[in-house]
Amino acid sequence: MKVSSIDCRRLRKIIRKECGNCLIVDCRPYFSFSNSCIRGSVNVNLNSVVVRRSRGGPVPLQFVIPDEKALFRLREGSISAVVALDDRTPHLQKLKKDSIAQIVINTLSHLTSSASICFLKGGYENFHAHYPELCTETRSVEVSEDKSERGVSSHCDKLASHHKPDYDQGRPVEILPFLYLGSAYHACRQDYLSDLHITALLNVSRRDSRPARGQYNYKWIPVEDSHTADISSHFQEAIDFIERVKAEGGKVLVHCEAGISRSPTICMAYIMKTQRLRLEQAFDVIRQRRAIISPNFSFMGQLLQFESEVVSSTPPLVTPAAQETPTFFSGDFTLETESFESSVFTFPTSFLTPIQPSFKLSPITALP
Amino acid sequence: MESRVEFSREEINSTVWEVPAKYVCLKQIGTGAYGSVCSSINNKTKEKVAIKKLHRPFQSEIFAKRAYRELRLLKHMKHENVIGLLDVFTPATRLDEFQDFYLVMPYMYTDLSKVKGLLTEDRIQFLVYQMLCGLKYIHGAGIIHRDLKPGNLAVNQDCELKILDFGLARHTDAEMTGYVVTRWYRAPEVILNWMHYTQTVDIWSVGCIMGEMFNGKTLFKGKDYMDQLTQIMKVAGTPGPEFVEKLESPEAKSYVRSLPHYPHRDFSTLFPRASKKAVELLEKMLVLDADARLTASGALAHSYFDGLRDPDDWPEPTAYDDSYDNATLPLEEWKRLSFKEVRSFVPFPRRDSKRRNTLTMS
Repeated sequence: MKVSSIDCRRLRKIIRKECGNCLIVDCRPYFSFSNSCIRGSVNVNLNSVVVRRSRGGPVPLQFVIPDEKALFRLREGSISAVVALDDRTPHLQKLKKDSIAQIVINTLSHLTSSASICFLKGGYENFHAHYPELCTETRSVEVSEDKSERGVSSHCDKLASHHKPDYDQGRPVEILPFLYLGSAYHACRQDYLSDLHITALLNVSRRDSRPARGQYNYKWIPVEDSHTADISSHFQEAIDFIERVKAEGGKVLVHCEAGISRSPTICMAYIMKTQRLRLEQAFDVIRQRRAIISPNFSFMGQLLQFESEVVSSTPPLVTPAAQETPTFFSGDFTLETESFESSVFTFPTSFLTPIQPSFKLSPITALP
Repeated sequence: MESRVEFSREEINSTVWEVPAKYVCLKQIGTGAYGSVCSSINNKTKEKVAIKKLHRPFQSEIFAKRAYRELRLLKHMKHENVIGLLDVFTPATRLDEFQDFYLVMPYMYTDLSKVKGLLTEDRIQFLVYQMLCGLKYIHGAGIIHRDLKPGNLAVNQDCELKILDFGLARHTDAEMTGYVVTRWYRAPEVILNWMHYTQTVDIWSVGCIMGEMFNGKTLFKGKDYMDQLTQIMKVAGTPGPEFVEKLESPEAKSYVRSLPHYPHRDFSTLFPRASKKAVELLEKMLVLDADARLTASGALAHSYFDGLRDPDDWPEPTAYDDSYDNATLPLEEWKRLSFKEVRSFVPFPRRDSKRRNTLTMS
């Protein structure tokens, strides 16, 4: 079958007159086609695998015309003209031998007997320039050089990830007036520490990262974030450290590497112990302030065990320092059970040790 | 030994770039703690490439080891669906001059996380096929990716795909592996913290990505590990006692046993846009038990890919020799090893030399 070239004016005439008998085959890449195309056209699905396997010969017709309805019309003979187009090739003779459009034309010539095969001069770009009303609306994801540059941002983000982890969208969060939770990144930001008047750092990561500048009360508890790490064996020393900072009127930042697993676990242990909270409540308190926390499974199990120990122990003695600040928590932290949102963290009830249904406020938190 | 290549020198944003003269039109496209990346045109092949310059790779043993590891791993990857090196060079001609090296990779147009709108099934099929071809190669080399997600899958306009970002996969430091922010694509055994992963952790991720492409939204969007696990169970169903017995952690065993019963969800209603064969494949990939899950080879053998399958897409990989990856060596030794690797680079021969976009994603 003889293949001819047509110009965009001729194609426009065909579209208006013989719409039902014409099939427009767009040979451009998929994303170009998705962004903008001639109405009613179909995109070829000639990926590199199919082209390579054809070894230069015709390819299976279902890859040229992936649309089942269009393929059916072509096979039953109701299509009188097939128009192939690419992005901008000016003439049929200018097509490269191994181009997608040429392969499409070869395949159509070889496999169809009744329809005439045409190539659109100047391609989609020329047609769109003359008759934009016959094309689909260009979408916001239009391909441009600037956008393709930004397309590499995911690669560059990975380069930058060691400098500022993308999980750290903000700053250390305040759990209690003297207790902050964050990541290793926060701990090395002198400006954050100064702004918050942090006086102490509690590091529960594998790496000792004592800050180079500033005078901080520093404690390092090496813990690995794995299911075999016994983090609960360090709960008491961490709690003691935080209590000492509090007694001195200071503020402590508890951090690990990412502020996701180990340091939230320590903070939960602290408020469970000192505020006599159940695990579920402690989890909610932390989660409300730093949404990305996610202690590993074993740590949650150890906190559950810790909960049963806390519940069975006698209430802690009120320390002289605490007595001097009776309104310490007013306005900052409300411990009424009702104030908690319904928990998104539902731990199986069979795991929980029986606990008195109503929450008893410790004397230190009683309002005057 | 190749004859001395002519180098040109240029300062871009306070960084000196000294590259072979064939790389022109350098434009910075990214920078971070470990390096800078420029786009460039290879004047001989007319291809657009990305050139990465590491910042002071030999400033410490830790940096030198990391640079060596990245170089080795990228050099090792020789498959069209896996990111690899087009070139690597250093302006130094002797070890004592060796201070920098540059990695040349295909320019990456975009990644799957940025593809908007719903993809047609034939495109999804082609993309998944390429993911699996790449994984078959990676797994055959003895490597597990461990962090497959849409952002780590580069695509070009023809839906050709490359698996990226092996950095995390090879970090022996658990600090990095554990803190992948996006946990939505992680296999249940990773969440339950088994100590030993098999290669099928990556197949679970492919299943999540495939399901997401059909539905246009994340399949298991957990808020934390517990929620992630619950969402998975609600689709895959709560596991039987054989699965529970395989868990190493007593906490995990107790937790899974205590879950309410969730039936296995009907995947054809979960993925209404997917064809019957696609649903069938998804069911075999999103299996809770890692041992029962399809391998990359098994998935490629599925009838869903009958129209695409080509054994030429599965070159036999050589095993990755990671004997140095966990070694502790002095700085000068890392430097010497890196220099040797740079000098011994051989370009990846192309199967379709006429089709420029086979390897370059421009």
